[in-house]
Amino acid sequence: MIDERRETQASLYALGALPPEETREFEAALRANPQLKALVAELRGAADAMVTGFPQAAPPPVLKSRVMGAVTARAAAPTGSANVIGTESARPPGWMVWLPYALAACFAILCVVLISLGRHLREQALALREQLTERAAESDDLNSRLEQLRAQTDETGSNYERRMEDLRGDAAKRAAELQRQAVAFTNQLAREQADLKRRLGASEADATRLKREKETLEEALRGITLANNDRLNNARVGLLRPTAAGSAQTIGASVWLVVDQRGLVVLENLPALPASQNYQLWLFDPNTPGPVSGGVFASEATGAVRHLFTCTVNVRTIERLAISVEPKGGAPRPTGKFVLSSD
Amino acid sequence: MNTPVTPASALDDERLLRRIARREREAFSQLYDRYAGVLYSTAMRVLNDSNEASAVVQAVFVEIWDNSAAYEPALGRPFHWALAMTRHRAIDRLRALRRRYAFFAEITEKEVESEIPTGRNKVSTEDQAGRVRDALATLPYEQRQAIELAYLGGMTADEIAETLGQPPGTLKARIRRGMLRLRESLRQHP
Repeated sequence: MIDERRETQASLYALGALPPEETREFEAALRANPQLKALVAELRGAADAMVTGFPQAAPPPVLKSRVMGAVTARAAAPTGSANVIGTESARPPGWMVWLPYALAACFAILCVVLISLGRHLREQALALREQLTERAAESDDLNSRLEQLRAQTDETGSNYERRMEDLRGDAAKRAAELQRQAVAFTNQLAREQADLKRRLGASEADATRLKREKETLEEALRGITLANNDRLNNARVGLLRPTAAGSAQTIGASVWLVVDQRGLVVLENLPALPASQNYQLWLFDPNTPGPVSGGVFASEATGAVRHLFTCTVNVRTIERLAISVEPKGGAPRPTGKFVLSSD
Repeated sequence: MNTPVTPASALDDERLLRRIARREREAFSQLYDRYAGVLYSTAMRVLNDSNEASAVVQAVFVEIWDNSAAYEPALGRPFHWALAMTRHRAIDRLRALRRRYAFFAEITEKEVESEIPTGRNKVSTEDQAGRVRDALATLPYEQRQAIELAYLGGMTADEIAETLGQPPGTLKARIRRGMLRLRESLRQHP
């Protein structure tokens, strides 16, 4: 008894449609089962018979001559095959024997030529493809470099413009600064010029004032001279100038009447002293062992002083007059610095 | 089982093969006249191209010439041997051409003009061919289509199922029923 699965396998096997993975197993079963083997034979016969039921077509008439020519050529070939039994009943003409070989040789030569040509063309195509690839790579490289150069050019131009802008800005700032400095310098010059003019004016005023005072003193002296012509013959007049320790603004003059043994000192711009100090006048006579005190006096708020003085000893010759700063009430001998002295 | 190739003709074919093995061209010519029509028709059925079918048939006969001495009767009758070679070569050529087998449903009674001698010189008589056509006509269309695609299309059952859009199990059952029915029909019309 054959089951449906085996019947199906037998049907497919007879038609040549059994999958390869099932064929081995089925053939093993086939060897072991004569009934299955008979079924396969019947099914295969039915399948083969099927082709005789198809519409029949006649082969081309020339086909038989071609087939006969082919087997004749094979029979003529010295194959020495074991399949050959006996000898040929008829030997074909020589040209028919060699014709297939000649055709085969021509075909082989043609194939060699075509293969060679094809290989050559393939090599050329490969070479051209490689060249094309290289050119494409070079083109890409050049494009890349061109892009880099463009980018560098743009960057350089941008940097140049930015640098020019910076330089213009710096130049404008420096010009403005120079202009400001020039204005400031001009203003400073104007101020200094005005200050110099003012100081010159003040100096001229001082000179004018001093000149007027001198003229006043000379006028006074002339009056004294005129009124006391005799006394003036014994008068000693001198100018008092500030020493290095005195004020440069202070100026004064002195008159000493030898006969009357009294004198007058006139001072201007004498600085004020603390309440614990006084100015003291000293007369230097070569005939006395030391300077003779001419009295003490204080400074006024206006700086102007008129000091009439006498001496406790007789002074015949006055070599020099000087004024020092002493403790309040004066001192018997000079102890402080001399601030004024006669020539 | 009776086939279009009768036992008597099979014995004649085996004698022809022995003569061919002895390189008798006359015997080869007779065998050609007996087989050429069916083998060419089979190749044409598969390839649907006269030149391709002629090339297949020529190669089959050259192979018969070369291997006639090696033929073993135990492996099958000479006609089945030649038909199997034709079918395999045609299917191989079909695959090489990357074509699919085209199934023709009609079983025509058309007589094709032929120069092949009739009668005993043919592998099958017209009566035998008529009985096969009757047997095929008893098969449903789907069974005939599946059997022919398997036999001449060189496709496995799974490939046929995929081509026809059928489940593999259904397709296999269809082939089994068709083959058994064809066998029975040929038995009943000897």
